[in-house]
Amino acid sequence: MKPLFEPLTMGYDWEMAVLKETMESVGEEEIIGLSDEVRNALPWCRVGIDEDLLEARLGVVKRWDELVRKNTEYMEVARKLAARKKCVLLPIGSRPTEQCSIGSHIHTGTCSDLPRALALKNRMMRYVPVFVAIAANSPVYRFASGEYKSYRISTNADWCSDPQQPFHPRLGRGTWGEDITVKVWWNNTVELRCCDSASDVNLMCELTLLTAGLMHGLSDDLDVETMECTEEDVRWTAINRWRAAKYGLQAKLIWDGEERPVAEVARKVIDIADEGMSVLGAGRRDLSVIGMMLKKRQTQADFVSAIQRSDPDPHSLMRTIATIYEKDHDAFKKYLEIAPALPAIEAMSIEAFLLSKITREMSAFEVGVRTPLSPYDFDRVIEKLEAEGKVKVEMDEKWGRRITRT
Amino acid sequence: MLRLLARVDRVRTRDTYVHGGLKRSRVYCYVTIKSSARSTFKMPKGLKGKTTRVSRTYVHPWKIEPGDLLVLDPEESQAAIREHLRLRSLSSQRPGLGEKLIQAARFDSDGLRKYVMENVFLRSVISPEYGARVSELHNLGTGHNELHGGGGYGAGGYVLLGGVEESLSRVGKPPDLWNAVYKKARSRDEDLAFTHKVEKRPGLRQMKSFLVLPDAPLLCQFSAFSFSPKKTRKKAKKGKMELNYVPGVFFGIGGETSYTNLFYVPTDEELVRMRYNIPPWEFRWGGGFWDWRKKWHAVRPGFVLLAGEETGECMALFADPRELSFAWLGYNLGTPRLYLSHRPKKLPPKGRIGYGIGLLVGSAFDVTKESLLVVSRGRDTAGGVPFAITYRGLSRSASLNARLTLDGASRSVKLVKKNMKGCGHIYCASFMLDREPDRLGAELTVGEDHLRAEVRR
Repeated sequence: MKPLFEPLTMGYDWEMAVLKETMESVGEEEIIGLSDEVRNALPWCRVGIDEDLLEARLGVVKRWDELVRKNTEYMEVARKLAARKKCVLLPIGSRPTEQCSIGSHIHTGTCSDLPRALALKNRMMRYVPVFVAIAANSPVYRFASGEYKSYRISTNADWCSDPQQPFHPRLGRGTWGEDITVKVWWNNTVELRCCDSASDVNLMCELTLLTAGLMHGLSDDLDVETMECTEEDVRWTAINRWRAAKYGLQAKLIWDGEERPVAEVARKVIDIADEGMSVLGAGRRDLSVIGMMLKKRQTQADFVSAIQRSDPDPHSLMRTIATIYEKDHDAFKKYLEIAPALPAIEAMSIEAFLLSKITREMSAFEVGVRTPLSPYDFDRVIEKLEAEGKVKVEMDEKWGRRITRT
Repeated sequence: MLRLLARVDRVRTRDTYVHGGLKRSRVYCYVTIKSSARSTFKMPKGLKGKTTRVSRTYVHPWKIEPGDLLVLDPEESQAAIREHLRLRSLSSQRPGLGEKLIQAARFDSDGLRKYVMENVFLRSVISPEYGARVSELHNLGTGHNELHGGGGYGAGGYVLLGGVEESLSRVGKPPDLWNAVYKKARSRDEDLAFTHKVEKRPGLRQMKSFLVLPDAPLLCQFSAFSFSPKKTRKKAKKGKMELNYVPGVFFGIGGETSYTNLFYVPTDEELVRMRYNIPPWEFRWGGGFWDWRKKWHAVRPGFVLLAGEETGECMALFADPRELSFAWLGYNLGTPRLYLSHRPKKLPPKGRIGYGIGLLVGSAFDVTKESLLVVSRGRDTAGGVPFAITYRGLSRSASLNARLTLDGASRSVKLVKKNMKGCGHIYCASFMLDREPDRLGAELTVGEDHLRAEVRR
């Protein structure tokens, strides 16, 4: 059978905020102007805008050294041109005081077989939490902090990175906006949307490489006659995704029926990705930032939280983070060197979590939206809580189920 | 609310310590004030270029250095304002029952003009620099500000300032009026008036006036729009100006924005009771997801009640039911909000349209789909404790009789009809008691509605 990706290529659309000194967005027109200037300076570049954000796109990349070179060149030029306009270029998972989730969307190509790409999407589902954990970079969002390392994923990136549902490869048409999105018909790629925007340039490259390598590694023997995903896969992926958003690399995932630290699972992911990475001219040695992160269980979100401990006001924090990254592009790397290793955390149960969010007469939707659980699994949790006498469920002809903590 | 942006001139280290495995230094930063931290925040004149000192902690090796920019929090910003501007404080005079007090201060804590209107039941603050909005409404019986902002940011430089914010867009989109500077105008019948030319709509002028009744827990706001297009030599088509008047109310009853905030919206079908404990989704201005459940039509008696579930503390909003199209309720960036969407209207040249809103504060209530009864307690005065009973509903009679129960003894109280400009009428009675009763109950029967509200000590 022909390989799914022929040739194996990679790319990204990496969203970043373009801010005034005051930390408010410069606005769409200014961003379009900046994007025009970057394109004129780097004709190979496909940078553009997405709503109120600058979206870096490098086009189709075939080799690791090409990715690093283009990525470095792009950031240098974009930062320089932004500084000339007296604005700051800041890739980060969210703006602490606004509703604006910001993502790194990674594309793997070149793929023209949609049913097999859907089979890969099903197979990739269980690996999504690993990427959520590594890329976590939104620990302060809409004034909230302390509960998640990726608030962006906890809010499903405001409809832009929804929990994935399995598809039968022969029956599915592909959808837009899930953690893995098959864009075969219009982009010839399979896209990973669950990563928060990476503040570190090197990490962005490494995430792109790892994703392409993993997709290549999982693309053998894809079966379009059956749906490979099981009910258990869907349930545990949902819970793992929530844990990864909450605890980052300190999370423990349920993996093959056992609880394992996400860093351990991530090393398995690197093993699977190894062959694909070598096709792209790279190897596991090139994942130096990710390697250090796994060793210390530290993420970019932990870096932001460490600064927040000294600068708790979200408005002030945003300015401080921008100043740090403006003056020191390798700040996160330096942080990894000096930061202590963090322990893996025992996760709270999904039942306890949901119970903590239930108050009085809440609609099922209001509670359910707090987790990536499928409606079926969510109903089972509510039934369990009801059987244990922890919640009361009443039916209302207009509002449907209304749930109250007893 | 105001946050300032400042540039660091000099840094002096106080001490260094290790926390969370990282070395941190506490420093004094001597800064020069550059601007407000958002271009849409108003900065008082005379502050730019002034210096102040703030305390900060940095994580090593990312030192705070001269030339760095800092955002000052509201306390630091207010301290800088106090340091450099002379703020005129308000009089400590307190009005009694049947009196009201209107004061103007040169500056509020953000260094901007403010106007304060109060009687024995409520105290409201009007901010002319931010759309002449009612930015605070204090229930003097409980001591809580029932309005709230949150300070969140939206697209296009919009800051969630809170209070009662007006808009001329069908969906409550803010850019028209929210941040405009209003000029003080001469008032005829009202206590305060402001005027403003709407920049984005040439020829449109707004006159906004406020009135506090001396013996009722009620603040009235009236917005009149007039349209005078410029004469041109060409025979221009006589166009009409379309107005979609939508006042938005950002609130937190009892000073809390928690799930205990309830909305009571009377409709033809039923009295809708809703809670805002957790937002289902949040959305941006200019698009996004609209939850149909939040939008309520046929608000026939022309009121919406916002109440604290556990305390009975409440704030009622009145509008003209003939003008009101729907009420919609939302929650964004941690702030419950209510929009009263009025019917779209065409304003002809030389024409004038007015919209009224009434805001009533209370300590206990009873509500049906057609009627509202509120008992309000006022601030303690030398003469005793003031109370008021207010009814709003479909009744049109000249007066109503309510039954008042005071620690077991009952008597009749006459509620007198009071008109509110542009938003119908209420029936109200106020009285002073020598001491605070253990229980004060009010009962009223209007048509099929039997209402009973009780305040307990």
